[in-house]
Amino acid sequence: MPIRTNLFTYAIIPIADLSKINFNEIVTTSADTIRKNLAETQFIIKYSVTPVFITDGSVTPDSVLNHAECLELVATDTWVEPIPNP
Amino acid sequence: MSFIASAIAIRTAALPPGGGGGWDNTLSTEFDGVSAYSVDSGATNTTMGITTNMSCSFWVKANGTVGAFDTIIGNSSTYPSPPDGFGFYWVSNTMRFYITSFNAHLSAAPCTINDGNWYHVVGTFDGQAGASPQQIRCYVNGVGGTWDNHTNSVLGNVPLYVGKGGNFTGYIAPTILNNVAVWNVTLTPTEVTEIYNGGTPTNLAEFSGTPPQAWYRMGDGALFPNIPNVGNITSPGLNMVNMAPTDFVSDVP
Repeated sequence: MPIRTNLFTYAIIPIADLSKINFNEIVTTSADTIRKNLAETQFIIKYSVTPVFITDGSVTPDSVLNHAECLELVATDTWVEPIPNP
Repeated sequence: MSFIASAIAIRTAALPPGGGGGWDNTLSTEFDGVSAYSVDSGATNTTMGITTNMSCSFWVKANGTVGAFDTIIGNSSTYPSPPDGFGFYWVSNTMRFYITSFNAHLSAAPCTINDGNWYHVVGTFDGQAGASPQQIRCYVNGVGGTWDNHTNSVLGNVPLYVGKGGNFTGYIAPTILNNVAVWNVTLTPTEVTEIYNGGTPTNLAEFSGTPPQAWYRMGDGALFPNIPNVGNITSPGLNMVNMAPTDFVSDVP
């Protein structure tokens, strides 16, 4: 059986740009619900249509990923705590 | 998106709680495993009447590659090493159901979730002293896994999370979920078999056992961003976070 294709785009944004995010333009709900890395230096937003704050250069993502790439990223130890002695 | 939302709104109007006399299971909810989840602020251990006995049933399919220790449903306040709650996670081709401690009080049942198939998962718990046997047990497709003795209550009072295992960041499984239900009783193996129904979801409004305290169809009857609770207790339903109307998908077990 085929795995479904997630068509959202995921952008990794420096935390300093959080105040520049217009959450009305993206799927991510709010500043309170963003996914941050453990160091809280970056966060993830997702969208179907590239938001204006990116196209006009107000915010420059550190990287732009598809679903599979983002799943790989959030599985790394910069985004999740290691499991202690399972 | 507005067209989809309207279409779902029409479904909401057409379906009485629980699906009514007819059984229409056409939609599921997709979670991306990155940031999407849902939470019912009114479905806690207290409001659901959960102390020493509980069960949880759901249908799940991978939506991408599920990683080791990724969580699916639960009400723990932290993870890993939760001090409270119950939850489900996947690792080493087993689905695991835990009470309070993710690596000490758990049951594991074989589940090759990343093969793209739908699976029916149930966790049952009887924490009363002297309960015997199988105080914690996880079932996959009606087959019981290992069991663990654990005499205690389900601790904590974090709301029910669907799409991840509680109020924490990370270890979110990419999944598609259908018909999630929680009981404040311990389902019997026979009742688990009835709900599994050979691989086709049944209408829990017609379940022969105790009705579920919380029951989320996960698409049918929903209106973004809310997935209503059509179970016994009154609650706001699941609030979808970091999600879109397109996360309701026509992929069902």
